[in-house]
Amino acid sequence: MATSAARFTVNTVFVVSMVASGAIGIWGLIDPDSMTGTMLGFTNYMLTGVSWAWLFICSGFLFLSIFMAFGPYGHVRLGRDDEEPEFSTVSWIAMLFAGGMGSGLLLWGPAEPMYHWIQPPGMEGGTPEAARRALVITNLHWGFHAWAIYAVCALVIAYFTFRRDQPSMISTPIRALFSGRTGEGVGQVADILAVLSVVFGLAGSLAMGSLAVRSGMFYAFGTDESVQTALIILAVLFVCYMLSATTGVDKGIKILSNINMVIAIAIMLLVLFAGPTRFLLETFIDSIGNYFSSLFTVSFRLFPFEDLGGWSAGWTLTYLIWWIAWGPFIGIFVARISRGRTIREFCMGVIFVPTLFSMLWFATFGGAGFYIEMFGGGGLKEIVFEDATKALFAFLEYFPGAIVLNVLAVLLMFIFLVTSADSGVFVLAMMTTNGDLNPPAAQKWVWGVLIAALTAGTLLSESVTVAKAMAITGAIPFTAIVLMQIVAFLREIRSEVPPRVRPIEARGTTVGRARRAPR
Amino acid sequence: MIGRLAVLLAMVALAIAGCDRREDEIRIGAKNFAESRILAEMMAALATEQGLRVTAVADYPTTQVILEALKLGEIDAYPDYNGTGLVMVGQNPTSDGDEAMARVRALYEPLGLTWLERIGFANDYALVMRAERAAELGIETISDLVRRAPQLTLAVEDDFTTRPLDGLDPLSARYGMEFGEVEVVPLDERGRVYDMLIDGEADVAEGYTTDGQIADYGLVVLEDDLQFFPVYQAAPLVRSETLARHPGLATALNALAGKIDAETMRELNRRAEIEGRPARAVARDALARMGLIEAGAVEAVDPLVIATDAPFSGGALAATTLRAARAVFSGRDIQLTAMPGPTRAVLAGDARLALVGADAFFDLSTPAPSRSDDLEAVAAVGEATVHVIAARSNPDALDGLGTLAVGPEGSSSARIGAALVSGLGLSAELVPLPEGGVAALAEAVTGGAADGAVIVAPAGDNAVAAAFAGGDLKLLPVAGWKEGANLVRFPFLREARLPSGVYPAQFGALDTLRLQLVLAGPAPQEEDAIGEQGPSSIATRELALSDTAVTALNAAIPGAPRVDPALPQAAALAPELPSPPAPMNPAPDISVLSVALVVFLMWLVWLYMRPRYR
Repeated sequence: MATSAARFTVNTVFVVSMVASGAIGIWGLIDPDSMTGTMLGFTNYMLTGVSWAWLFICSGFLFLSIFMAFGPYGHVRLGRDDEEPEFSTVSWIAMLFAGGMGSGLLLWGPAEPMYHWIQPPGMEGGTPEAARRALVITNLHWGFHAWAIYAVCALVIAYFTFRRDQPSMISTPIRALFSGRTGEGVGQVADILAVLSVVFGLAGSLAMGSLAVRSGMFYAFGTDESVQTALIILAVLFVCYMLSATTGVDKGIKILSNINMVIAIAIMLLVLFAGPTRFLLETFIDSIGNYFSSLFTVSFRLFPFEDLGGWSAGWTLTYLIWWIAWGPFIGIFVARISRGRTIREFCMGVIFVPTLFSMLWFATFGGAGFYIEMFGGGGLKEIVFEDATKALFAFLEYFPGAIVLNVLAVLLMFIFLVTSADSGVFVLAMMTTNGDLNPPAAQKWVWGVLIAALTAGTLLSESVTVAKAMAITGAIPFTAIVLMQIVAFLREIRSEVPPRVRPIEARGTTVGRARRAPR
Repeated sequence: MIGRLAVLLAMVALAIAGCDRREDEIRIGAKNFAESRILAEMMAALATEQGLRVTAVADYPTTQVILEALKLGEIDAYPDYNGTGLVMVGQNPTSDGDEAMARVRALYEPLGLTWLERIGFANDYALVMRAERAAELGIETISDLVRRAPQLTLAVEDDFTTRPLDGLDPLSARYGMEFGEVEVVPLDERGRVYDMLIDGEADVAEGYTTDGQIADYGLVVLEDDLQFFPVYQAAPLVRSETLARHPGLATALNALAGKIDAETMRELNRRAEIEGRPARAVARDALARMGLIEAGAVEAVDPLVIATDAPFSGGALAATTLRAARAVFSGRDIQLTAMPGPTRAVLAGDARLALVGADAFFDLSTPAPSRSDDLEAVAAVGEATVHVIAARSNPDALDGLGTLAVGPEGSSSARIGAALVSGLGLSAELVPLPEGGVAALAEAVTGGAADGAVIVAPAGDNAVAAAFAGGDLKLLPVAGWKEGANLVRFPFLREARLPSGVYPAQFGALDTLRLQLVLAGPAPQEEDAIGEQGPSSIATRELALSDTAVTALNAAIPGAPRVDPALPQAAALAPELPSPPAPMNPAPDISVLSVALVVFLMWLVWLYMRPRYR
């Protein structure tokens, strides 16, 4: 502790963001209505007013990462050319999955496909065609786009940190983009904004997560749905994420992420094999084709002619904005654990593998829900419209060994929270110590306690709207920062591959191959 | 890694084995109506309990088909009735159960089929009518029907029409009657004959004496004065060869012998047919209660609660509501529960829907009631009438009453009472009762606890009629409502006239008020463009009913009127309004924002393209 304290850093970013988060936190506590009104009003306005831009930008991220993976820079290693990856591939994927996905994956597993099946936008609900569309929509929300947003945020940071040996900060690419004092100023602003959006994003998400665990425990074990229960959950959560965060990435966070992954896979396999296995696997395979073939269309699908702007904002854009809101911290965290991988490997690991997993996940959970309604006794679809959490536990009741599933589900929801929180605290400590890759414990404690306090305040206010306002407001200013980061990254990476223009005739007869460098 | 793979392979192998139909499995069938399914599920559960492998119960459309399937070995067992057994082999049925059992055992033995012990109850055919219709026509026995039959409509299920000895044709021949019209429904939609009866589409229906609907809807069973219908005692019918192959099976199934009487069976049918519970859950629950299987096997089914005021929780409208909800939310256990403040229960998530008067949408605490948009009307169920009752000795005018008993706070009665006092400028003091049933309110008046009471119930409601039967109560007119601004202040209350003779000792027509009874659900939350969902988000409040559910509910309520336009309606019900031509630029601020954004994106492109400074 003494050595950590010695390294405790107090810089401008730390002080300003500490003061600002305190101020916003106090504003939220004293006058929650004006705080949520202002923040959500701003987000609502931006989301509905320029809905086209969000979809365009996020789909842009996806196509940019495809270009990075398969384009001329795919071979660039995030680190020295001869560096080995720091973590094994399994742990790496487990960690990024545990950090990037929330308990929502579980909560919305049966609920979201069912919702879109019954009420799809712009078509008749309840038909087989609607079921296909429902899985496409769900995969659009949880699949490539989500992970591409994370990947782009992380790739930029990882490139500058490990390839260029610069501090692992949000501002690093921005300093490279602007010269002199402009870069310094914009960089500081970017850093502070990023810290604030991580702090509030995390506090809001933890508050919502604690409530989700609470209502999960209510449906699974019948515990009280009181503020006290939520605070107790938060207390346990605090202990767990501090333990995990202070022991560092290679111990607590890694171990917990692996446990998380094992439980998630266990639940999925239980549902898959205790349920209508053939139907579920057929659903999965069917959904692959539908998702991939309509990926391009849905990436740009808005509803100007159907006048369904409200649907786009309420579903697709809400999801996209959530992913962006988590961008700064997932970005730095994923970058932190991706040292030594090539850009192609990075994109496959961060985008392709998790997307395939979540497609299987939703095919299993959503498909089992469809099966219950189409061929089973029914009774699930109305619960989905009542309450998604209730629907999850009602859904698990359909399987043998529901008790085991209930316990695993609550445990998984909790661990998802811990794994998001520990990486968040770790990242905050990094961000306020000029990008220290193994930040001091004292810094983690300061942020851990602040986040716990903000979460507790939100829980005491008993308003989910406050939590939501805190969680996603940071996304919109952060989008501008990410766009600037990307520009800087694209400028910098041009120096990676020196143009090797060779005379075609020197390479023989095959014109097409002539451009490729010899092995 | 190899270990994990082995486990996975083992699981896959198990799953594949599970799909494979094996010879040692017992296949149990059921005729597709609730009672047969429940009994079949019980047989399956008992056999499973003995460690036998049983496949899921399969449904068969008619008795002939299922008997054929049993003979062919498609199935191994199904529950049947000894009367049916006799008829199916062309024997005359009998009304003596023991004799029928002995004959049926002897007749079926050469076919390789064994009748096990009787379960305990008999489920006989019966012709049923609505009580008031039967009283109107003066019909008590089937013979009474003969004269009226050509003008009447009979509702039957299709199995009954095809039965050779105890079906529709033999019945008509025995009594010498011909019905004007016969409505036939498939056997698996047998409950519809009762719907037709209640809706007045049919005058007479063919039912089973163990049907839960008979007691629930207060139907009368016509006396079979010529003893045409024989006795039908239920018992498992099993292939003898199966019994030989599985020695434990006979013991397992005979555990049911004499265990279920008609009363119990009626209750089980009621739970399956009227409450809409799955047959399997009903069967397992009953067996667990009887101690025949382990209690832990009872499956919990999350009920869908419809909250309502005490006066609306019984009677025809309640039955209509339950039936409609059961049809729409199939697979759910529907409960119509009286509770104080039904709308509060919906907003708090304790109930999914509320069956309430139109008043529930208005906040009556202020002089100018304002409409609350937390709830929306999803379907109109019927009308309720405001009954102001008083003791016979009291004056005939409302302003002569000192105290008015009303239901608990949040009930229609309490709200309408408040509206009456403020709208008519009455001096009466409201006395809320903790229990707001019709009987309790009437009791308060007869017992002298209050001078009068406000009862909100459908006109002619049985409970209200029962309260008047005592003879010491009278109805008071609500006069002069139109004066003042009442029609504007309370847009959900409409003037109505109760015709004479609706209630006993009500001799003249009476002016009063009426309001619509509606099913109310949570209204969609509109204020945020941001949805309730997200990676770590939870839905914060009850979502509105889906459009499909709303449409289906309205279709399921016979003759559903439009929802009163004064109430907030579900989107699926709202008429589509013609929209005026939109201005060329509906939002100039958005245009400015978009331009700024485009400029920003172009600036980014320039940042990328510009030459390096260093």
